[in-house]
Amino acid sequence: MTLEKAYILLGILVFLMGLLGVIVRKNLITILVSTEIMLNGVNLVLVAVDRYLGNVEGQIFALFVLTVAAAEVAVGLGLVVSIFRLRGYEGSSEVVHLRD
Amino acid sequence: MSEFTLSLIITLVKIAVVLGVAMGLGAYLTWFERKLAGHIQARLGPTVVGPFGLLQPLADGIKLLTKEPIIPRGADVPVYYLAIVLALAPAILLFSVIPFGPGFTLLGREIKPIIADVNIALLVVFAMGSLAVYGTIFSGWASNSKYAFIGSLRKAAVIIAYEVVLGFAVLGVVLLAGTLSTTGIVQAQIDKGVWFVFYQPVAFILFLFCMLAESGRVPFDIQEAEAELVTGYNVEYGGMKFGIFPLAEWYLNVMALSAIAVVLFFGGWSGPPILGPLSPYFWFLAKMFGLVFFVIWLHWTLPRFQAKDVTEVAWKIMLPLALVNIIFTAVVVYMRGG
Amino acid sequence: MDWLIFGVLSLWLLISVGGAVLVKNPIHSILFFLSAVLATAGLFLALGAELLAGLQIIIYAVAIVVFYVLVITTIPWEKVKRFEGVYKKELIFGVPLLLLVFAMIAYGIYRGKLHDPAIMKADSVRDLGKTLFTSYLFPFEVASVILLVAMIGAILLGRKEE
Repeated sequence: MTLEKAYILLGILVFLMGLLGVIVRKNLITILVSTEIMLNGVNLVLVAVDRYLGNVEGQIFALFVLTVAAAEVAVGLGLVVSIFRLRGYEGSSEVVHLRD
Repeated sequence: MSEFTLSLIITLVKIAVVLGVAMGLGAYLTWFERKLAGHIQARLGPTVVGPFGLLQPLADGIKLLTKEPIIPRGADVPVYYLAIVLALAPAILLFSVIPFGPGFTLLGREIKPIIADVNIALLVVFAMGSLAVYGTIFSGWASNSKYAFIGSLRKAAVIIAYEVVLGFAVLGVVLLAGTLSTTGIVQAQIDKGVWFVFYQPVAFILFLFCMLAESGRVPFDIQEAEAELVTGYNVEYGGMKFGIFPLAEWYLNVMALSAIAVVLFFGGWSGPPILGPLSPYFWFLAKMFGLVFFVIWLHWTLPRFQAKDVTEVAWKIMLPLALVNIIFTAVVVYMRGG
Repeated sequence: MDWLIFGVLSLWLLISVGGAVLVKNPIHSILFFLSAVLATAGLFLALGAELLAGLQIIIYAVAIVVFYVLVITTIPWEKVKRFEGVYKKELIFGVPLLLLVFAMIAYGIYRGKLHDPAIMKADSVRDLGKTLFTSYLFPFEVASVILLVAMIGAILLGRKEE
């Protein structure tokens, strides 16, 4: 169990805990927060793998993930605000209109 | 004693010195501001407590510490107290990347009077300067009061707008110096022999505006607007809990940001050696307090912006100016060979 | 010494992520997420990725989490209180399943033979800048277009119908 393997395991653990959050939480905004936690876990694994390669490509990839996460948060929260304005609630069990 | 514990002890001593001096100076800046305000308004400031009113901050501190702690009903108590920590911590953390002088050797070890000499010191400055917005938002929200919340939303909008302008304004200096670390920028100014304020006057003026906006001082303190919002986001805080907000925002933030301005634009600790080995520290503190004096002077002589004008000025006037400045600087640096 | 730093930072990160996933009140969940972001920035610094640590704090802790806090504080609190907390049934089924998945992946990594660690260079900011603007220039421009499109989309979604 070297230090690099410990970092990779930590990243995977954070990713899985974020996945648990997406499945389990009720409020739409906290689901989005759990998605961000998953992206953080992925970034951690990417930067940890840098140590094996010896160059900075892991960090560049993590930078692009960071950028896309920012864009996704903007659009996701815009959607949540629209749902709230149209329907007046924001629970994940209530947004079922596409099903019927 | 191993290498690691020795460097740990040195770092702890540096932290203790900087923390003590910063908090002490922050408390005495209140006295300085009241004296200066008094003289600008053709009256004397505090003169009763101690000679020249020098013990006034102590009296104020004792008064604030002995007030009754009242918490509004329905307030979110953990977040209410956490907001105070979130207001104070970034302001103090800003002091960790400021170089107070050149490195010197003591008992055979090279010691640099900077707590954290990282390669990304300037990014840490941006990050800590903008983390201060959390103290405002959470104190306004946790107080369960509409006046407080409107004040905090105003300040959040101002800080987010001005942090973008801050990033672009400082990029010109980074292009000239070639590094993001504060010691590197001071060294570049000493090597080139000229202070960057002469190369980048526009960037310095933009930085000054951003410093005023991020610290919430006039002419940008719409969130406090004493006559309109009853001092806004900290209206439900009493006693020393209230006292920490101006300390962190008006005094510690202004001191730290003017120290950064001195490092970026005025050559840090460089200056003619009039006091022997102590002269770098003297020059650094003199320049820093010159800027702080200028900021306090502005506070008592200028009126305040309207709430809708503050962010408009940032996005429509300052950001294009900063972008034009960067393009111009980049072209000049490229043509002179980098 | 590296293990000590890793241990402290990873403990901070795991407690923050656990709090963000399980706490009832959404604002407390966002505060735990802020703490997780700061812990991740610390881990990036410990790994030697300095520029990414600074950018992590500036983008995540200052822009994204402020956005979350502003959105959730401008929604009336009674509506938010109807939907807070976790679903208990999914929690009881989900935790053992995900623990099983983690155990399988961890066993694979623990027993696997990875490449030998290479030597890290000192000034990673300069290297990252050079590589980003020479080999990865096109993805960089595409990322800026993505941000522009997301900005336009968010403005359109957030506009009130008149």
